Amino acid sequence: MDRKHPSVSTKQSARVADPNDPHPHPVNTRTPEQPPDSGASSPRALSSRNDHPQVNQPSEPPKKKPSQAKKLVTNLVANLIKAEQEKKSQPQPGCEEAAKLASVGSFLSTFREKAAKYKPVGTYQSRAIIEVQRYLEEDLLDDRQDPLLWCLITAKVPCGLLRRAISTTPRKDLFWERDPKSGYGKKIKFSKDLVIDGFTALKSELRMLKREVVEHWESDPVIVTQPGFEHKVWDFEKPEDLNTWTVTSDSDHSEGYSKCTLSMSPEGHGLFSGVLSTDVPKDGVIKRAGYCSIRSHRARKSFKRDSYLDWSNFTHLVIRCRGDGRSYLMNVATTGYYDQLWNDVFHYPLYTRGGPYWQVTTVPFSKFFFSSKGRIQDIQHEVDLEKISNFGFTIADSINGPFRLEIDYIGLLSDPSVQETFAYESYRLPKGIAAT
Amino acid sequence: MMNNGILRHLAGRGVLWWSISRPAVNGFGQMRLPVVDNSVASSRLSWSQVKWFCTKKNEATKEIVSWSDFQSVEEKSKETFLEMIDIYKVKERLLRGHVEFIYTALKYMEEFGVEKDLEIYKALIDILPKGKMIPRNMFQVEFMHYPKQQQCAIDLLEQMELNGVIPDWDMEDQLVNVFGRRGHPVRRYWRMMYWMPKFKNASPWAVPDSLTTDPYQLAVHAIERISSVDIATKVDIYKTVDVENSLEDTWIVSGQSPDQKELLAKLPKGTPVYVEGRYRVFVQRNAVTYFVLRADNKAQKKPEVENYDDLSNMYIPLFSKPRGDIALKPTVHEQDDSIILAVCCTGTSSRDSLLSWIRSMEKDNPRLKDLTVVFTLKAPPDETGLTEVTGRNEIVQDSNSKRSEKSV
Repeated sequence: MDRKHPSVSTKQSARVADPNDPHPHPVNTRTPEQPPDSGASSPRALSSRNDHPQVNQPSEPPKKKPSQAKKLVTNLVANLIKAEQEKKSQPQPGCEEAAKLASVGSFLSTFREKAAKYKPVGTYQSRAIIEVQRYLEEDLLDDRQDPLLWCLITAKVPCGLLRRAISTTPRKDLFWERDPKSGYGKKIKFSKDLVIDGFTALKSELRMLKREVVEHWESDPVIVTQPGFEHKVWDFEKPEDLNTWTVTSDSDHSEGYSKCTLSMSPEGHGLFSGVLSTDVPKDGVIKRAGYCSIRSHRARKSFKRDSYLDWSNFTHLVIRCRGDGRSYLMNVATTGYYDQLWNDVFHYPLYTRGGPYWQVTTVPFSKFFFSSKGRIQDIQHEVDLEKISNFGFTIADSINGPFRLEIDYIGLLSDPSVQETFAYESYRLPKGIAAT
Repeated sequence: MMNNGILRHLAGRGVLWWSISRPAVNGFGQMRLPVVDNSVASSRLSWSQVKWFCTKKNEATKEIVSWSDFQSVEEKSKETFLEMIDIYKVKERLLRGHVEFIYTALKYMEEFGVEKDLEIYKALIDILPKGKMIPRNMFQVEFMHYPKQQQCAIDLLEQMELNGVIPDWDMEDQLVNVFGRRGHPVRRYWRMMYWMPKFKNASPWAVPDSLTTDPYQLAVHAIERISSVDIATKVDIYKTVDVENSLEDTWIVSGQSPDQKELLAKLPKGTPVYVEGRYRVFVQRNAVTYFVLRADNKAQKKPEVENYDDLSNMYIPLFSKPRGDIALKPTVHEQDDSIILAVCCTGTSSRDSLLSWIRSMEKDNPRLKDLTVVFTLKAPPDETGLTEVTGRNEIVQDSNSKRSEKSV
């Protein structure tokens, strides 16, 4: 702590002495230790610094002036540090007793004594030199930038720490996911509209809560499903039905050039269409591109609490659609609680016939295979049908060109004759082969 | 020829040389002899052409790997590609820069038209030195022994996967010889061998991967695919030359089932039938344009939705009156709002060819003469409608029309 304070105060005082600074800082008034003549000399000295953006370069034409100014400022800073230190070292009445109490009977007392002896303190002069040097090494502020902003930053973070915080290298978190969206998506800024939206949502949320309470007291859940009957989960009869879907493509994050929409088709069904493009943006990071996808909104309870869809009574997924001959991917997401489970998705391809005829595709849930972030996982397991969070379609077949998938409904089917729980082998692999 | 690798060694000993361009095609590989002549002296390429991109720094561009050399090859084919690999292996005995060589080669595979060729991938893996990079203890395994080489092999396998090339068992031996059984590329190979064959025939409308880009063949495939809803569908091929007063000379692939003929024959006199199109259907990676002959489906009764939970109004066959709402089950061609009467692809997708299609169908469907045929084509058949399509996936329509223009 004792290192932080002098650095902050020196910076501010030195900054205020700058004649180019249009906003004199009030900190200046709080430094009575400042000699009266230094205030007059430092502006002159610092103005020469401002004339030459690269101060550190030894080949600067006015050689003497900066060195003199540096000396002056260093002395000034040394005085400041000294004053600060003296202020601190003055024993406060309450503290002394507490220190005494702590030292008595504590096995750490000898350690503290020794540590204090070996702690490198340095003279006020040497510390001032370091501070001033660090300040000089810092790049000059841009003319267009607000100098107040700079003061704000430096008031909080000392110079050395500030440098460390600004880094162009992205963090690589191998084991821990910071964010459920893996860095995608916008950061929500607090605004007035947000408050208004929050209060507007109150009405619908309360209605939802009421329904939940009534449902809870009725306590009449669906226990048995009739075999062979399709239970529609999502359909596209009204344009409002489109609002429960999120449409994304790689161009949303400047990672490609694919475009897609979800709209109502002329015949009155959901239409997922767009143009897929495998062109890779030339930013040196993206290796491959070309996906479009729709995804249902997360199942939730009132007041934006997460919940799950329970499909455990059903065995098959039913989709009535009309495609264009391309293959799509059906995604059943089972987002879990822990960060490792955030990206759990089960896939199965949806092959479309193409042509004017509708097709009804029935896929057993046992066929869905497990992947995370688009990579098939070594250790496979079946879908936990009680914990479905989202459902969606993706197209990423690397065929450039327009696609069109007309969806009538997405439903569920129960077929008790199906015994298979998982279609893929789940035997244990030899040690060290897969992530065991 | 010492360091020509295990493959050539095996081939030399008379072990079968199987090259499976993709097992999804027919399930069987084709037996081939090694294409490349072992004598490098007879090659069309010089060593300098090969050497430049792998080891030396290009003085002009300051790049370590000069990419222009793969481009400088005049004849871009499988033979020259294999020849380049051979020259590299013979001349560069110390295998200097082999990772860079493989990466450069992977980049240019598409240009040489060999991106779906398993033989090429195997030849590239054959460059990697055998035995040297096998980890000897668990720490080496865990910390990715020779990471650059392993990553290179993984990238090679990924490129195979993206191109839908399923590896064969020889490749396992190759990779095990290079990286050992615990190497990451070997593990990736095993994953590929588990998952890729699982889905190679999963599509109910699978077509061979070796499909030609011949528009006529594609059109036949497309019509067969669309009309797979009704297995009785017969695909007819008409020629516009056979129709009187036709302007063009092209083919028409038409699909119609007996059910559709019956539905057409039942239509009342003067009913409007519509020729609608251009719709798009994808066959493998190619888009094919098709057209539909349809009629409005007004007469169809909507079946009443019966509430099975309602026991107050239960139908008991023994005691109740015969049901009044019984109707014949509609055929698959009677869709929600329209009756599909036929589908077709034509060589030019022009209005004239569609008129010829209707004329040709009149022989089998005499009722068509009494009906009003309305052409509601969305766009004139020119290339402007397809300008938004970019990239290498060719739209069949373009090549079609060009070809027919030439033939006309």
